[in-house]
Amino acid sequence: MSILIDSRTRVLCQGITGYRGSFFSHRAIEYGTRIVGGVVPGRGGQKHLNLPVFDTVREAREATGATASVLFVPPRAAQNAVMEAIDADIELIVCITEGVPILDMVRIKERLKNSNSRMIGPNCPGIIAPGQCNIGIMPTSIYQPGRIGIVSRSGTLFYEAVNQLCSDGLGQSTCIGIGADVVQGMSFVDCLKLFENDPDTDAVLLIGEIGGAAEEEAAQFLSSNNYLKPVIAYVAGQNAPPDRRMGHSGAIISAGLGGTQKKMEALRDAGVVVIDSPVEIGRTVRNAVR
Amino acid sequence: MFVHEYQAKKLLRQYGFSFPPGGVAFSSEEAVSVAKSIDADSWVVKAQILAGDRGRFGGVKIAGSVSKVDTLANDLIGSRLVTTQTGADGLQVDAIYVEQGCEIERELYLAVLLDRYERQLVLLAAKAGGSGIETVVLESSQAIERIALSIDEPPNESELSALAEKMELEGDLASNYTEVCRNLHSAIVKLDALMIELNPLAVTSDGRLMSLDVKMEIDDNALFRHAEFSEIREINQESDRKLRAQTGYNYVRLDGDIGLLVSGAGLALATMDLLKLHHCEPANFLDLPPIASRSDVANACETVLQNSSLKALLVNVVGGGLAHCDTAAEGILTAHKKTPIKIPVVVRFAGTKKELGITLLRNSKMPFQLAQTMSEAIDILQKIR
Repeated sequence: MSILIDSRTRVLCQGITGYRGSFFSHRAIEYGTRIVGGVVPGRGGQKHLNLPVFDTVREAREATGATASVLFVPPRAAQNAVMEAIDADIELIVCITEGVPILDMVRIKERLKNSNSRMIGPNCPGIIAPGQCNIGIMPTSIYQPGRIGIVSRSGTLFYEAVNQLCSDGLGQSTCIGIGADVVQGMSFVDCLKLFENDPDTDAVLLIGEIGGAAEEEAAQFLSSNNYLKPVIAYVAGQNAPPDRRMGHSGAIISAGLGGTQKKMEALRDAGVVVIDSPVEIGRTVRNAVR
Repeated sequence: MFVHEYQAKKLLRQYGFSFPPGGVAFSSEEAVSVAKSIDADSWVVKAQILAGDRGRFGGVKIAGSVSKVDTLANDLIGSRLVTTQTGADGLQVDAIYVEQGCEIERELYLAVLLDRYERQLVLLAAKAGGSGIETVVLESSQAIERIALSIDEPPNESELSALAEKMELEGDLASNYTEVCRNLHSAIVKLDALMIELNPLAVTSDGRLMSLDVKMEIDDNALFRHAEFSEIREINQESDRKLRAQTGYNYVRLDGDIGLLVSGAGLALATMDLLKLHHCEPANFLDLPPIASRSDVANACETVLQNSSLKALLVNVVGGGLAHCDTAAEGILTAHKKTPIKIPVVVRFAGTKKELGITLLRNSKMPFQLAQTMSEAIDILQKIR
């Protein structure tokens, strides 16, 4: 099985009539994903890709029984579109949109806390349960069903890791691209918790990168809980060019956080198998689950 | 986007902040006329660069006369200023800010920012401000006070009063201080800023609270809803362009000799890590975004190849999203057609449209070596070197 989605998941697409919404909904349907309708304000009653289009998420949910929604809306519309999905009690919101204003995400994050919804993204490739359901923009052909769970902040590095796993004969239960924006929906920790309880996931691969504190939080969570499954991690950016700085607040707030060395140390201390070289991802996971 | 001090002060005056009278000057003549328009015994002349720590490195000077303002302006404008925050090459000073001097009794530190780790807005405050703030804070974590702020709720009044007390401010100064805190909150939200730092926030000897310097960063993602930034954007773009090309990709020049053209930031970082592990040095960081078009790739390729110290070009593209290997191949060939690539090219394609990408390259006359994996690419590069 998988986490968050499976072959029965009924998915809406907010922004289905746009170029990207249309293209990726079509691809998802080809993959076997149950896309059940679209939401585009002002286009209610129309059909697109042979699917009903609704004015609001609530109407769409009531008519189709959808529990997930994928968003291909412009950045300026993202905050309202996500809020609308939260208000309609959509359980899983996947926001592909790149360039969402950061304070809009802070506001969304505050709203998510008191809701029944989870959000993946923004600025993310989406989520796939290979062979069952694909929500987002990932290149579906590279994935194979199997028993490794993957969570990644990066997109293309994620695909690279999947390529390596498949060459090593390892399929995936669920793959989640959480995105690398400053403020995100689901975190590494949220995904780790779900994978721990998934009987069909044997091990979890985390793909992190420089900046932020997602890796440190994951390490903190893993070391304070007796996590039952092997966790393997690669953190990109050991040789990243330095960030631009202005003023002192950045250094004050980030004292001791964000660098790859610290992230890798923290993960190692928490019992994670940390990979030094990006070409060793497949082999290392193989050894960890053997 | 970082904002110059003079731009930030102009923006923030509309949010109830008070700064000493002052104005920007792009020439010494302008500096003199700004100085003359300000009733003062002394003037502060400040280099306008998008980096901090100017005070300790000669970017902030005091003039006791208008003719001294003239001299200082002449020295600063056109010079390059190197501080702890500019990098070794420093930044060119295109403008200065001339401001009324004031007698400072003591300096505080106050900032509002998005805490990237807690993912919320916070106020940071310290009793001791000025350029030594970072050392103070790193040495003693007690020196800094922090208050988490909700985005749409005004800050809690009693928390602000307690903060003013901790800053050892009383009476009018305390109420001015809490007002500055409220103004910071409303400014950061309304301006879609990520950081507004008042350092120092000075208590003047005539008993007023005055922000002497402002550092400010605006969220690039939110520029579409702020017409008021369009002028700032135009002026600051030039300096930004040196670090980030405006054609849809991030480019940072580095010291090595292997040029990199890689899809996505994560894979670009990983490719750099891999090179370093095998003692190869990347000549640049560059990530093609998921929406890169053929001409974006061609531009990116040209930018990478402008570096004369290149010994080889490594193309590492994993097709996915809207970025496919065939687009990357077409972009590289477009660049090659314009200016033939003379250094060895190693190409690793994977993911969407991998085969088509390879076929396009093979059908062209451009010589290249194909790698199936990142490991193979490194092996080839090591042989080239």
